[in-house]
Amino acid sequence: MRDLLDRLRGTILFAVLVVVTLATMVGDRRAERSGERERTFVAGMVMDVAVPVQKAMAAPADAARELWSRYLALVGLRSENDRLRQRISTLEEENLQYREALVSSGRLQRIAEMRSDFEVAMLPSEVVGGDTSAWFRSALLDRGQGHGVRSGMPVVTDRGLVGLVTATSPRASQAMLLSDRQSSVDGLVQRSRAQGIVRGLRGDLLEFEFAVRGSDVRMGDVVITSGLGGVYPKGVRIGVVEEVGEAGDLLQTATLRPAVDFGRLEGVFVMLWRAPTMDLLYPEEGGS
Amino acid sequence: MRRLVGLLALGGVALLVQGTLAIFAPGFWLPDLVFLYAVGLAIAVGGAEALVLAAALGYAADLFSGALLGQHALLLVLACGATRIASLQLHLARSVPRVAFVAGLTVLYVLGHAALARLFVGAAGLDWSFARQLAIQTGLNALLAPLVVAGVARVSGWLAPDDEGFRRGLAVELRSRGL
Repeated sequence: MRDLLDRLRGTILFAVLVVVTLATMVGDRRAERSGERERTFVAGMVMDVAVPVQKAMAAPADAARELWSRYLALVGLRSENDRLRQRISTLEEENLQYREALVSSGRLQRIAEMRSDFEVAMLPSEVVGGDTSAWFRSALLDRGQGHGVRSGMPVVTDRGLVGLVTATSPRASQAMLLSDRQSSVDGLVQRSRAQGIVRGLRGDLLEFEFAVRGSDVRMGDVVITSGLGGVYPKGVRIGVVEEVGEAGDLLQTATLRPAVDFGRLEGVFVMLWRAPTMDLLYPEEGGS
Repeated sequence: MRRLVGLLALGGVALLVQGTLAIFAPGFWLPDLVFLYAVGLAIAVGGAEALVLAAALGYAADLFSGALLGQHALLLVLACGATRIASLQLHLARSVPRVAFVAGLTVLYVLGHAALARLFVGAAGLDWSFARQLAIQTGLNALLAPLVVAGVARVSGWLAPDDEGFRRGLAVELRSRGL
């Protein structure tokens, strides 16, 4: 009997590990649904330790990239270019907000409301790691619960929406990018007000699915967050329509080029804001 | 114990390197170091030790990924088990069978991720551009596999508590060189 157990030791361990990992997955999915998906102490510690290490590991490559772009590629023009780009981004964002307010109601009152929507505290954060698997799209940020970051907070850059914080530890957090296949955002075509769902699709492109009837979507249209769904604030730029697909019986899809270049994410901002829906989803953390 | 801790630490380094590289290049342009490391463990270390290490590493990978907790762990344990079974039938210490095996296993591993994500979270399905990405990563994994397996065998040999581990690591290296 003992011999048999010795011989089957590997097989038994294999079976036990398969069952345990499957059970963990089911448990994590349940936790995600019930809004209790915060990293445990040990897992949080692993994430916290990884942040400075990954920062240090990325530093040489960052420095090389910076050196190349700053001194070799665009000698002297780089600083000026950066300043102008930043200015353009600010003006574009401002313009977008004004246009959005004017289109939706035509009242200046709405502009004030819109601005107050966006005037939430923005926490600058650095992307210190990408996803360890090519199948998923997420980013490890160097800010966590200790800095006020909570699951369900939107992550943006000056160009537009990046994604959503999905897990936090005391000094780090993980954000699911818009381009992840699991991501889904309620979007709105700014020009025609056509509404639909934006999903991560392939590479770094997004898919915009909308109802055929009554929707007017054209190439070059800007898609912004609709504010519906209670996750993201209204009016954050998602992307630009690059291609409109064939219409089906009920639904039609368009391909979006994201406003944010996910391949060059460095500095992002966590909006220290959670929609009321997210407060219901993550009650134990308290709303902000 | 020394070997277990050492190999776990090395796996952790592989994980951090993978996460750091992913900032600079799209994931499919990079070899999956964690997966290769688990395959290397199955070939060079084997037994219960390799399975436990693969599971631990998988859980750590889940923390730095959009996957559900346990997803990488499950697939790495399965990959480890499949490699052990295959090594009984195929001469995986040789480069050509190993490269072919790793290429096939990479495809199954990634499809496993896709299937689990679809099953548990309802993630979007696959399309043709995904096949191109998969082909790139499969090629990279297959090319790098001999190097990673040899590295794991050597480290495992250094960290072995007695000469048994060293002999096993050496045997893998010698066989891979056709000696």
